[in-house]
Parts: sequence; structure tokens; C-alpha cells
Amino acid sequence: MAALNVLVYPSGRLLRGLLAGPIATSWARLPARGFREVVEIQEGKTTTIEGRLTGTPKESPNPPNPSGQCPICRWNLKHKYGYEDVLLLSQFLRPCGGMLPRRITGLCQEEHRKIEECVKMAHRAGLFPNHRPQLPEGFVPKSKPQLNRYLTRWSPRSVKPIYNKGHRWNKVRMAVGSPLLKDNVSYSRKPLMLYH
Amino acid sequence: MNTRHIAFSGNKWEQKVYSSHTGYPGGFKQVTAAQLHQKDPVAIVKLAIYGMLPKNLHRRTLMQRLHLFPDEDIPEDIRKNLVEELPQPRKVPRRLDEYTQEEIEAFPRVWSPPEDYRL
Repeated sequence: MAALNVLVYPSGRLLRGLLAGPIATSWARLPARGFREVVEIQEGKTTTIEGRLTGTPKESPNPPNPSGQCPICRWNLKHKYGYEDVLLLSQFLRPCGGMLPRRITGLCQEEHRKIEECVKMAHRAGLFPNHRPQLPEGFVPKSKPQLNRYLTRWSPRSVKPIYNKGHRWNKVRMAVGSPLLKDNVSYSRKPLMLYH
Repeated sequence: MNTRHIAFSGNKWEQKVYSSHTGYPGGFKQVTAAQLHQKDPVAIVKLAIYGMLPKNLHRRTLMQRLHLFPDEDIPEDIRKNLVEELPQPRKVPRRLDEYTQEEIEAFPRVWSPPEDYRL
């Protein structure tokens, strides 16, 4: 659309004037909306469904390190969280369980990746029972055997059994946890084992 | 007791393979931990303890003295003889709905979303 306009109206001023009209408003961002909740009210025969604006949650005041670029640096949490810190991880989640984009949350690239990995591990451990994807209507999921797991690096469906474990000098190890969290603070003397 | 609720770290439920040979030709059986747990919930803990004991003739007698049960129901005579309960080796993390509303509110919000963002 824009290319055609450039060809047909070469003069810059006309272009800008034309572009400023309909195209700009259609590409403009959608009107501002905050978080809403859906409320259904039944009044006799008429049902009113309206979305009420809930207040957008704000960052708590007085972060310990206001000069940090991302929320984690500001709150001094750089190497201190893991998959079990659900209260922190749930702040970056959508209600269906997906992660929010980095440009919205303001995290740095490595922290975003670490949090993404922790969220995946927490989902696999079953720590977010209410952040489930919305299933289509009338769909009853098959009952699978409930196995307790934690620190799962790979998705359970994608992993193959290790039939040949290898000789003593060439063992096939099983991955536990994530290499992104290698630099976490450890309060015990035991080193962190990433491969069992 | 209640070995049915055992947890494995990493992807061991799918990756760990328990192998055995019946002695007959073509009798090499390899079973993943998940399948073994389905067939017999007690077997994983039993094999783990069997591997941790010293590899001498005492091992069999020590295993005979060990009693494992998949669920909470234990026969009365064993329940009466219980002396101590071992503590949990690893802290079980709490789910999001196990936190009280006050704890959730007391935890500071780390970032504020822009005014016009829709989830």
C-alpha cells in the first residue's frame, strides 16, 4: 500500500498529507485498555456481559537497587531464584501459563531466558495448577499417570529412554536442572550436579 | 511407606531404564522407570536400596527385613513397631495455590506493566 502511494505521488508533501489521513489511523495502536475481568449479570430475561477494568498492578515502591536496568537487578535477585520461587515467577506469566514478552516486562536477555527455563520446570513440576491452557468446549483430557517430577530440563514427551548406558569411561548422563542456573548462590557445600 | 508418590529429578522417569534378564534366551527385558512404577510402585525404591547396600551375602537378609508399602495403609503389627520417622530429604516446593493470600500480597511486585497492555 505504502509502496504504491510512493510511486503514484512522488512529491514528499503530498505523500505525507495523504499518509497522515486514513493509513495512519488504521495503523495507529489500538485504544488503550487495561486488565479487565468479565462479569456476567443476569437480570430476568436480559443477560449483560461487561468487562470491568481491574486496576493494573504496580511495581512495589522502594526497590533496593533503583539504578538497575531490569526488575531482577533492581530487586537484587540476580543469582538467587530457582524453579520453586513460584511467587516471583508467576508475576511474568499469562493466565494461560505462557510467558510475557521481554519488551513488556523489561528483563535483560539472560534473565528472561533463566526465568523462562524456571517457569518451564515449575510447570512440569505441577506448581501452577491454575495456569492451564484453555481447552475447547466439551473436551475431557485423558487421565495420565501422575508422576511427581522436579528440575526437568526436557519435556517428558520428547525424551527417549537410555537403553545403553555406556561403559565406565563413556557414560550417558541424565540431565537435571538447567545450565543457565549454574551461577546461582548455593548455601550448602555440595556442588550443583547438572548431570546425574 | 507411600512409595507411590516418589519424585524423580530431571527426566529420569523417561530416561532411566531398569534391565533384567530372565536367564532364558531372548529374555532381556528393559523397562523405563515410568512403566516399572506403573506395574509395581514399590520396585523403584526397593531396587534403589538394594543397590546402596554392601554387595555381600548380608544384602539379601537385610532386604528381607525391609518392608515397603505403596500407600499409607500399613498392617497393624508393623505400625505398632514403628520407632522413628525419617525427615524429608528434600524440601517439597509449595504450589501457587498453597500460598495464603497474605503471603502473595506481602511479596513485592517486581515490575509494572504499561497502562495500555492487554494480556
